Amino acid sequence: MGQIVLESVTKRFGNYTAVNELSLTVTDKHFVSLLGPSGCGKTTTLNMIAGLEDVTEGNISINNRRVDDLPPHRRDLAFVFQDYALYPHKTVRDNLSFGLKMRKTPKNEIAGRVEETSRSLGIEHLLDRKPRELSGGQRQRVALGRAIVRRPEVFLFDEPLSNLDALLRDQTRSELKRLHQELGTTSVYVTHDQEEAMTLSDAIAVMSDGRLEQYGTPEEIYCRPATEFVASFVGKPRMNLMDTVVDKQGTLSVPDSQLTAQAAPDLPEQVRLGVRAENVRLSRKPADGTEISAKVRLIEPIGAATDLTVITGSVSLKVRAGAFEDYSVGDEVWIGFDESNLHLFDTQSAARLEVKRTAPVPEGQERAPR
Amino acid sequence: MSGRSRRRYAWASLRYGLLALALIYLLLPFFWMFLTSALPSSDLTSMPPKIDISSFSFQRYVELLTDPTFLRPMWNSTVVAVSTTLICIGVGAPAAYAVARFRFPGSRAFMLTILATQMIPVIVLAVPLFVILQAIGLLDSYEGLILTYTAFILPLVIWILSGFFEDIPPSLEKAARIDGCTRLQAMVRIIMPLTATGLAATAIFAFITAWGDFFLALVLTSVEAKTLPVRTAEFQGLFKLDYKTAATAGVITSLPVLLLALAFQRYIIRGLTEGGVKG
Amino acid sequence: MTKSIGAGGGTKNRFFSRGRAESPDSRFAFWLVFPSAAIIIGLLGYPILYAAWLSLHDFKLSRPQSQPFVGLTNFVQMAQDPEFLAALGRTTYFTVLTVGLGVLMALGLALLLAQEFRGSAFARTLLLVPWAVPPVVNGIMWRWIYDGNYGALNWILLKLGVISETKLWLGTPESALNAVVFAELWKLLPFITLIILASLQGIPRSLYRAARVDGANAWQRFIHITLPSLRNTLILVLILQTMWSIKVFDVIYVLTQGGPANGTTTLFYYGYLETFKFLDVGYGSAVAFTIMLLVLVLTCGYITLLRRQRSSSNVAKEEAKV
Repeated sequence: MGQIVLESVTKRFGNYTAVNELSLTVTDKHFVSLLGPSGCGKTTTLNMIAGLEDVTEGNISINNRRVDDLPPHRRDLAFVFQDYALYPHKTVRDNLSFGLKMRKTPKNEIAGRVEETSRSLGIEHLLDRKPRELSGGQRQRVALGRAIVRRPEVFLFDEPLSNLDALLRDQTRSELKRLHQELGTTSVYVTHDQEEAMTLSDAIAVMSDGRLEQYGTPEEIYCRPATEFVASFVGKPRMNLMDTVVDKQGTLSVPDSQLTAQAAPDLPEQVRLGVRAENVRLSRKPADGTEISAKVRLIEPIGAATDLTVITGSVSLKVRAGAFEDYSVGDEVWIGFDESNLHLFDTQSAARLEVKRTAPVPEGQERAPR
Repeated sequence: MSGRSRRRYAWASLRYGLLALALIYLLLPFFWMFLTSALPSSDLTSMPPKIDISSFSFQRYVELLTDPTFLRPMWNSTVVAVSTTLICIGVGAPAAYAVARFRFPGSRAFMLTILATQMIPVIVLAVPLFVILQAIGLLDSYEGLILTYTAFILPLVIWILSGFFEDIPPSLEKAARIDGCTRLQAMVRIIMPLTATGLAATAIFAFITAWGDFFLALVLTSVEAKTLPVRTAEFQGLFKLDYKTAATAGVITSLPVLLLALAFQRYIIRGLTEGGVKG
Repeated sequence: MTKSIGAGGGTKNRFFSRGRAESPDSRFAFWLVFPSAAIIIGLLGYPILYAAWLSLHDFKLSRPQSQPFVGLTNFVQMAQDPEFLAALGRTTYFTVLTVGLGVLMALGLALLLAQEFRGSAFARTLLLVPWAVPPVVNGIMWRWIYDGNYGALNWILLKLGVISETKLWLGTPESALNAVVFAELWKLLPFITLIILASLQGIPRSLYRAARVDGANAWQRFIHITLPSLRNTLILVLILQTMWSIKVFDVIYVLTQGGPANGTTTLFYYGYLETFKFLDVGYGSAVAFTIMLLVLVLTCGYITLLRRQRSSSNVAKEEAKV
């Protein structure tokens, strides 16, 4: 019932196009993230769904009902803002109940819901305080509570975790996931943090420059990125991307190095190759003779693993190694590509090229997972 | 004391000394006028002037405050200044909000116009306003004066208030609209209460300006709507004979605005520093 | 599929583009602004046009029936009138002194008040007294202080041994003009001081700390940090005070009535005399318009000064972003 459909939605500000013919469907009860860098149009899209911005072209439906002409408060959605937007001069209780009051909900029902929601979020002891007396984490909970108490059909989140410190962010992220499992409300979540999007979402819409780059499950986004942009934006550390030259047998060679990989014939002469750090084979000694020698340049331990930057020829790659293995700068290592996990992209269109002999997948717009 | 702390002590003393001098300079003249109004003139005209607290007398105040030709202008000034302030805030606050939040066709022109009005010397409009007010029968009337003052003070009010509104995060209105408010309700129920300090400071500013105006009141009123500054200025002819009355009138004319300024000084100072002076 | 225009720099456009007239936001804003715009245009815009019309006609209230169009005659006459030129000179003198001395004194006072010390808040409160006092009362106040026989100024200076006999401060044109300058300085000081003070308090403390680590003494810190940071505010203050100084009237009316011997007749007072005492309304309007022109020209000059500083610092900000 909380299904959201966007059809060719476009938003222009004067000469500037913020969102360009965006079409996607948010399945009912799904948690969908709009992921992308600043300026990609994700917040504008969220504002259009909310009704805080007009749609220039195209239309939006919630629950099979066209909502473009409806003001925000008639769309039955709740919004959690990046800066929480708590009413400073109202108590927490009044903040929570304001939306219900405006909808003429009976007083005892308001009291009941406020009670229940504040209890589930652990803020019932703060009900009589004002926002300025609360910590960042507490304010965030009140902002969440304000949305939950309304029991809307759709939750909208605008980067709600960016103002929290790292520890709190992780905790709250898990809370949001738990909340979604409990309540099952359709949610649209805007973020530039791909880790957040991956952990929380049933589906991710990756956006760039106002366009949809790919819309798919976290697995599809991560394992089969549709464009080079998606490939490089999602995944930590950033995917290794390099230009390669392909010969008639389908062997890719990386110029200025000895690196090669075997793909398939019938590929263009030049291809962009992407390999994730965890898909680069790494060993101290050559194992099966296909490895190439490289020198360790930088060592970045992240606890459970280590990110090495290695140089071979004039190509620099990020490689994932185990935890605290005894590497030093200048060590010689042997690397190769895991050929079952290569990502190939067209040099002109940046679109994904399938290694089997099918035609390249058209740019960007895939339908939502059913 | 080490050399360093001795130097700091010297600097501090110098600072205090200069500050004290400055404050004396800023307060003494007014205080002197007050003394002139309360002490016997013979005491003051002797060289050196004799300042004896026991001979304080507020007789002159009583005389003026029971004189209808003085009371009437006092009342006029109050009515006009209060009305002007209320209208300027009532009409100007929404306009300032609109200018701060929305980009609408003409918003830039509007702001430029506001700036431009500050450059108009009152004298340019003295005669035209006189003619216009006379034509519509509002010369020497409350309404005429209030309209005129509003026209001059409104732009300033809008300019200052828009600075305050810009400081409020727009997400608050968005939250209110999601919660169910229309744009108007969001503005009135959520945003306005937040700018209470700014509104207060601006209101006082408007009141002080309206109360203290002399030129326009001189030109546009004669008997009925004569304001206090005009009446007080009439005492200047009496200087040779009776400065005491002039001083008393001066103190009475200053008292309301002075008290307002001192009572709300926190808001005014914060208003000056936050609001309109964002270059 | 059309590629969107201006990816990175797009946000800047968003602020400068004008909203669509039909959008509900714009409509809402329009109605909020409408009453104010109506008042301002009706009560200021229309009279200005009428004043312009007046200045181009020969209109004397002593002979109100005939108002022949005379083009720029009023202005030409004005430019050749020695009284006008004298008033212009006095206004210049007055403005330069009040603005120059005023800003300097205000800067000093603001520096004194900037540091937190016991009673600094109290001092700042006291600052408001001259600001709140109506200009008319300012005139009355100083009239008594300047009095030749019984004035406090004479008494204080005699006591201090600065002068040997009482002076008639308002007796000669030159000294009267200076007396008015001094009286006006008293009134304008607080406002300017508070503005500068606000700006001073906005300068990050870390800048001073960095300078001290670099070895700068107090004077150097003032020259290299305080003054540059205050540049924009000082220019703003110069603009404001110049505008206000040119318009000074109330004090003169009460203190000297433009005398003695027109010694304190500034442009504004001159315009007042011509319009309301000599009832030459057309000529008076011409004078008034000239005053406005003067203010406009000076303001534009100051603004270009401001603009030049702004644009160079904006360029630096843009480069820093990249």
